[in-house]
Amino acid sequence: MTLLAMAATGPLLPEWIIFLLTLALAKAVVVVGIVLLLRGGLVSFGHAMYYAAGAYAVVFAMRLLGVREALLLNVIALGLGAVLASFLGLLLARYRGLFFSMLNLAASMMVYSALLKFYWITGGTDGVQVRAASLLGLLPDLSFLRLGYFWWTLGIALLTVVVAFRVMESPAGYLLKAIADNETRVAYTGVSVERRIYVAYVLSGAFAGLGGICPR
Amino acid sequence: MSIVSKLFYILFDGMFYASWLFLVALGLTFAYGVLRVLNVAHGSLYAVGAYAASWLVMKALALGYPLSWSYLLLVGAPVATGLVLGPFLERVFLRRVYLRDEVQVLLLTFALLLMFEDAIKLVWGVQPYNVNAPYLALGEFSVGGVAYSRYLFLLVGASAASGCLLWLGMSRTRFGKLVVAVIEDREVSAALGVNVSAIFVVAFTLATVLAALGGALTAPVIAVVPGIAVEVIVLAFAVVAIGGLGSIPGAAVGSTLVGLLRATAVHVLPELELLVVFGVMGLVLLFRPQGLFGEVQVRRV
Repeated sequence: MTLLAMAATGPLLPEWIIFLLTLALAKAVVVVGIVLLLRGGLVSFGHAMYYAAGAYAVVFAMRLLGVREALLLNVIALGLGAVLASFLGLLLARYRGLFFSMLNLAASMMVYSALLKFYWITGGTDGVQVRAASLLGLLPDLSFLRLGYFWWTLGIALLTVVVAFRVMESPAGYLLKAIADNETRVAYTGVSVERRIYVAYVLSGAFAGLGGICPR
Repeated sequence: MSIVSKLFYILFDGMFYASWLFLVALGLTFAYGVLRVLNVAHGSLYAVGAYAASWLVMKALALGYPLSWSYLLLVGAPVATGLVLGPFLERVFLRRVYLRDEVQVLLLTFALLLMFEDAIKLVWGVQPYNVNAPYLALGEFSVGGVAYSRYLFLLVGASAASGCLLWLGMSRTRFGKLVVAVIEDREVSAALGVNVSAIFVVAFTLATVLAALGGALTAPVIAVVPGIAVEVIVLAFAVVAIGGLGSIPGAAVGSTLVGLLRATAVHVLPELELLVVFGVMGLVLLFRPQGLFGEVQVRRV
């Protein structure tokens, strides 16, 4: 409901609110990913790296592959977030509690330092300029571009929330909650705790990667 | 440049960096050992120490006080800040979360870090503080054809002294032995009549003082800017994770390892600087999750 209201009032609001809301919605997508992990009792301090992975995925897709369509870019970002999470999750998903939080922080610091230091690839703190992407084939002209992105991000956020809600209300989601309460007992009922957490981690990373694309 | 002189560079740079890390990590690991709180805001306390010391030294020198007084300020200011902030933070914030899940405590200290970041900007502004008179005044001396600053050796000495004093304090004084008892088993100590609350306040204040001292002593060497808190806490955590949470010798070993590795990376392939540090941390945690000197956590079922 709120999101529909936001969508409807979009054209009436000043430029800067639209911009801020678009950014906020993109970050909300990342937050949904983090909340998924929180369900499992794990606080990750490092999800910014997946957000960055999503963002840089967009940059490289646009520069090297010449992709201009937003939908495709979203999928690429989500994919890269998932791929990175599946690699790092092999190590990180084995930990709980304090170490999980801080190891994620460490991993994100490593990614950060790699992004920073490899200047000739990533542009370090100067950053990389990105051209506008078309939304489902349409590229509105400049005055409507902001609004278009706003609606697009709104749609993505809505989709993410719906998907996350379905995941959390499913048996898998309830199992995650059980794992947070008492992991050992869940393991004794025959459920592979490691696998559940790993999957949750990858999904969470995917959401975070998706969030990275939105402000572009 | 020969291998030998490169090794010398690495050794000295590593030593300086290691002693800096040790000074910072000492408070962090001590606070965890006693209170079982991983104080992410430790970085902010470091930053507050650095800002307070820089600002005071700047004012003092501007008012015409002799340079030798600035050294007193570099030690006195953080001690004062620590004595004020330590009990305040412990009583007001940490006291309420002792019985909770450790991740909640972590989130609380993280929130404190964020609050401190903005508070620092409010109080001291965002421009860099470059108070390097105390650093430059001590001059340099050459070892093997390369000039090293005398101030950095002072830092090494201060760091080693802090470690030794803390260690001796814990093993020789009566109060120190009470602290060790609380570290071992909080409940039993309380049951035997030890004033655990008081010990918590003192231990946390000590950790705060150490953090601020680290910041103050480092201030003349660096540009004191808003980002130093986060930068420092991440490195300190890596050191403490490698060495084992709660262990002082662990912090020493961890900081030496990280210092030498980083120095090697900087001299050989500078891009790998942070990667090497966290890579080693990952490796150590893979094979020994509690750190090199840490105690194995027994899981209650």
